[in-house]
Amino acid sequence: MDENLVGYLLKALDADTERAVENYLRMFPEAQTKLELVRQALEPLEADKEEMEPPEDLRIRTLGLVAQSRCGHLQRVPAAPPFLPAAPISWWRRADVLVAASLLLICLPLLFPLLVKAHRASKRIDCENNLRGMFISLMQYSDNHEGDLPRVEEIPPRNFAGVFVPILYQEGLLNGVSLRCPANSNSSPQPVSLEELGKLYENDRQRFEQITRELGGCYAYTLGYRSDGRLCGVRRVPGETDLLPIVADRPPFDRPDDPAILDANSQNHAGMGQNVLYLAGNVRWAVNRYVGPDDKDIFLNKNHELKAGLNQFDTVLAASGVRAEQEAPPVH
Amino acid sequence: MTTECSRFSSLDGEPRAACRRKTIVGHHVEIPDILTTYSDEELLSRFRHGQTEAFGVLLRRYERELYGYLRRYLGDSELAEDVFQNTFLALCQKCGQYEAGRPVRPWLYTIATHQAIDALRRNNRHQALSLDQHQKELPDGEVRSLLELLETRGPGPLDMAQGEERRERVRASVDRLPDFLRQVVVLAYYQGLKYREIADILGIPVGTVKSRLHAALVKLQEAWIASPSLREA
Repeated sequence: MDENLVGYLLKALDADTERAVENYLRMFPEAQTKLELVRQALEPLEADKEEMEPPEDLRIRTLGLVAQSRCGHLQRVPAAPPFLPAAPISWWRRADVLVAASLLLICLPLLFPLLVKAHRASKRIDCENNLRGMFISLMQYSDNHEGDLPRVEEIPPRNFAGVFVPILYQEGLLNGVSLRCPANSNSSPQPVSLEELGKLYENDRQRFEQITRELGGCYAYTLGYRSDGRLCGVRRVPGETDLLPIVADRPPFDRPDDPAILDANSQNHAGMGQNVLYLAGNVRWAVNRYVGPDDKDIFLNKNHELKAGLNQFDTVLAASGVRAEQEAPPVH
Repeated sequence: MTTECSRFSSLDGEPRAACRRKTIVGHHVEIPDILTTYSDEELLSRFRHGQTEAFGVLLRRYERELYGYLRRYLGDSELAEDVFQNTFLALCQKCGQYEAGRPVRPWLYTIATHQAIDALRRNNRHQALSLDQHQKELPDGEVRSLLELLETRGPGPLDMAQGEERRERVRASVDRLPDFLRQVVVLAYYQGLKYREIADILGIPVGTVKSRLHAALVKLQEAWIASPSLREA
């Protein structure tokens, strides 16, 4: 039991052993002597039992170390890429371009018809404005000639539909008038005077034929009508002749044997229709040719012939080179 | 430092009235006193479940005790500070291994002792046990020799020394003990741990604890009788 005397003095024994030592000390008086010796042996240690003070900041430093260790487990923010001032800033990444291209590919088929439609509508409006400009010139001419419009005659050189151009030109009424339809890529013809036209007819018949086909530009003009076998021009009578068409987009034929004569629209607007100028001054977009008085075909007379009309209200709008009485096609 | 760090570094364990305000690294924080009333086991359990303030209370509670143990065992204040910090760092890292209900105090001492041994080893101061030393750990023989020595010894230089000289002589003699004997003396005498707790901390049988303590006392008695006084030295 002596081996437990040190533990007994230090109170390091468990409860059972401690009780056993107490019994041992009671039963054996000499054990008290041994206990005293052990106490004396331990006594010098008491000189250094003073508690050691930790540094004041030890706790803070320890907490800091632990906190740093715990925070070290957090994912660090990746370093920013180096700034390169010389490199051009690209606003479009590859992904942006791909997305934009995809959207374009999807939207383009949807937008394209709308764009084409808007483009055609714009050209049609420009064409209408041409006809209005032409109406002003024709009305000035009409005012100067007691209501008569320029008319096609039986004999050359004024025997073709496009003769209104040199007539207006002769009287200085063609300024500001465009004979080129904006929807058609053909160039505007160079106007000639009636004198030049007569000389050309006399001296260069081939050139004359060519000029007659070109003078009217992209537009068709009224051939007039026959009355008692005589070719008459259109006369403006307010209230009576308002519904007469006088100018329109040129039809796709200038010969009676052309297959297009049957039903084709003007090709100025891709065959979708034609602008028609009426004697009252209004311009109408017509998707077919049957917009004359009583829904008559504006490009043929009542007998469905490419000739002058059969009466005052049988208006026929013909391409520049068409004669009032069509001759047989010239042999080249 | 992140929010968590700030929160963590503001922990404290000093009890006061209902609620106390403490300034730490420029932060004013309030820690409920209720934490200081919890047992070590409850505090560690709460820390494991995310209540970081519990760690500060635990640190505050063991600050003096554990530093004193390490200071005496290592004999070096700077080394003791390092080991103290590493001990709580290890406690934080190993708290996931803590088994609920297991006493925290012996576990904390175990961690501290292992950290101290590692530190001594790094400083080439650790003395490994030799076979001779194991052979000397025969309980009965040591007891006999301790009692015989105590019965026959006369007054030595230590008995004449007083005050600071006596304290320094005692400390010097304890510091000169081999590590495995010194740690038992420190744990049993200065830290007041029971044999069973010391056996658990060091991973040795209780009988070995007793024998080492007796052997340490024998060496101390011999040292106090044989060594010259400090003045003579």
